[in-house]
Amino acid sequence: MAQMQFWDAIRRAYDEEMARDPMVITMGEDVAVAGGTYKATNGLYETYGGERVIDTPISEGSFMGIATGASMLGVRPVVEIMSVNFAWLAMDQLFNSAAKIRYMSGGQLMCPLVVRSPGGTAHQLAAQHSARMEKVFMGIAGLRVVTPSNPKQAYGMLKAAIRCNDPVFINEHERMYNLAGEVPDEEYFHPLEGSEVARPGRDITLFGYNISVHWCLRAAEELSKQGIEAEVVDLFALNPLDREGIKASVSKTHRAIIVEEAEAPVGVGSEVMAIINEECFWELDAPPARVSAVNTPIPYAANLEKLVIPTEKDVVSKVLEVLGRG
Amino acid sequence: MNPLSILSPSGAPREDADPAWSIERVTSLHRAMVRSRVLDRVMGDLQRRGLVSVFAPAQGHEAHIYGALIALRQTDWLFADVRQGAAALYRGFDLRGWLAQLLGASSSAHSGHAHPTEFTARAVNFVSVSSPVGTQIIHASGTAQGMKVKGTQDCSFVWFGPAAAASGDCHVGLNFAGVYKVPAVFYYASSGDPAADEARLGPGVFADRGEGYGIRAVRVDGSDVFAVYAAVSDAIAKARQGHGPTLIEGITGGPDGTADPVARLEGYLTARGEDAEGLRRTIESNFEAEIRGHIDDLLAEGPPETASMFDDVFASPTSQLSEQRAGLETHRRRFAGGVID
Repeated sequence: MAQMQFWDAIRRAYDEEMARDPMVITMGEDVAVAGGTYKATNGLYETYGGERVIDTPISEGSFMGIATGASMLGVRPVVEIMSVNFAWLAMDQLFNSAAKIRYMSGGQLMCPLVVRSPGGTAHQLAAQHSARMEKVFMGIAGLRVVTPSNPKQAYGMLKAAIRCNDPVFINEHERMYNLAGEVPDEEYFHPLEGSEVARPGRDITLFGYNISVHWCLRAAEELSKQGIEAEVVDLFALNPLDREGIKASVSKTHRAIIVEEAEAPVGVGSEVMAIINEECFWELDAPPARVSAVNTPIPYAANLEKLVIPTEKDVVSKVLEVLGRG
Repeated sequence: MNPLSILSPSGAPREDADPAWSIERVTSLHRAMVRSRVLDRVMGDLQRRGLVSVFAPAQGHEAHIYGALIALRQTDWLFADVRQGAAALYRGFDLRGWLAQLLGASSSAHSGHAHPTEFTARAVNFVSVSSPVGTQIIHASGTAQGMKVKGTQDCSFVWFGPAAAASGDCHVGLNFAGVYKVPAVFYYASSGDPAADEARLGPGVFADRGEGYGIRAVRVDGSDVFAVYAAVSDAIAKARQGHGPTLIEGITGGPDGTADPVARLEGYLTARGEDAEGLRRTIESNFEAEIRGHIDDLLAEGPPETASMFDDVFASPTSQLSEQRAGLETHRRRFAGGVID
């Protein structure tokens, strides 16, 4: 096991898959000559050339459609959208073509397409560079959605997504590319469905994904000092969500909080709460709760930006509230 | 830019451009065009009877379609607009399967999942239009880029009309093609109503847009199947040689606005001593009988099995889809002979 930064784990996955399979290509804004805004495609252009590592015109609808068309031919494109906010421009291609063509053609065609994109607040990038959009992608039939919380997942998910014959959206975070963590030395494929217990506990379940897993882990550490053992479940797959994993943990702890950086409406939290209601309502000792952003676009000023999204302190106080100790 | 034209409205070829094909080749092309017209008529009839929800006839567009098809090879990929569904038949897709898709019958290769105009035939490299028209232009550019990655000598060919031409997808698809010099041929077919086209696209000549993208562009008389063949052949040869894409503007109805592509080819056949009308009548009656026979069989066959609604969402079903499929079975047992079956 070597320590590796998140961006480098992604780069390694690309490199291994592109070396193995000449049909794997990548495209997006500044992915080639510049090596990617977050260095995730660093060096690929030099190794694999301009036919396979493509700096596209700045037009998300264009390169999502180009990748969709190429994927019908059996090419495996990995598209990087520099900021997930710009994915709105590519929605028709992703939702109406890539996600539906297998179904519409009765399985004659497939789109083995991977889209990677970071969302989330970074450092004063404001409303059009900071949105969380996983809630938009996760409800679309035919599109898999995963979201890595650490470099090992980032590496293993990209490798699995490239080999998957479905379109896969990988939701990353702008502030996580320098996060270091252990990545296996040998080849590793992370499942594209399921969830994992990031920290076992008995008193309450904290459901997180991507960056909020870290808030949950820090909150659990803090709560442990107060004698509260929180279980942290990493929902690394958002479509499909792991109903069994959600049910298993809530049936054990009998309390649940979903922690998300996005604003609450129609999001991961509301969906997980619905699943809890459907699967294990009678196991609950308290109503499930959410820790989410307020319902505003992300503001520019540093103080405001910090305030609109949750922190681990919000998680701690919500846990105390649910446990009746607030 | 003058449109390329070979056959006069009466079907007389320009002396310097008569392809002088064997009569078998010309009659085979004529057969395909007449069959297309029979399909239009029968599908229109099925639509009026409520058996097919939507069908866009190819009438008036036969030269755009068959002039291009005879120039392309089987390994080239075709991206259709709404009027070109029958092109898959010319490439060898089975007529019964084609009708099964339109009728949403159980033997449809699409499992009854696709809208009638959204016809895909992977076996013959034919990809459907999308309802948000224009997407096929980008897909064609993308597949052509994929052909470069694969190192094939194939090309992508896409038909589109004024609605798609007015979309943002047309711009970005052509822009990418111009930047990356992909092996693709973009075939714009006007509607046949110049005033309606002007209302969508403005008064300019559509092919002139090619220059702005650095894409070679030509105009062709779209009622002249020989001219379409010549323009497409030239474009494909350039694409295969690595000289990048071509934009072709095919003028529907011909420059005089009146020409009929089938009648024009029949004028040519007559001049070559064939009984064009006799040929047409034989094709019409034989093909219509063949179609009607399949339709009777397909209507007897019935609709797709209900559980097939869960097929092909993903490469393998998620646990939710498996649960929902199982739920359907439970429901069906409870209401056997009732609401679902």
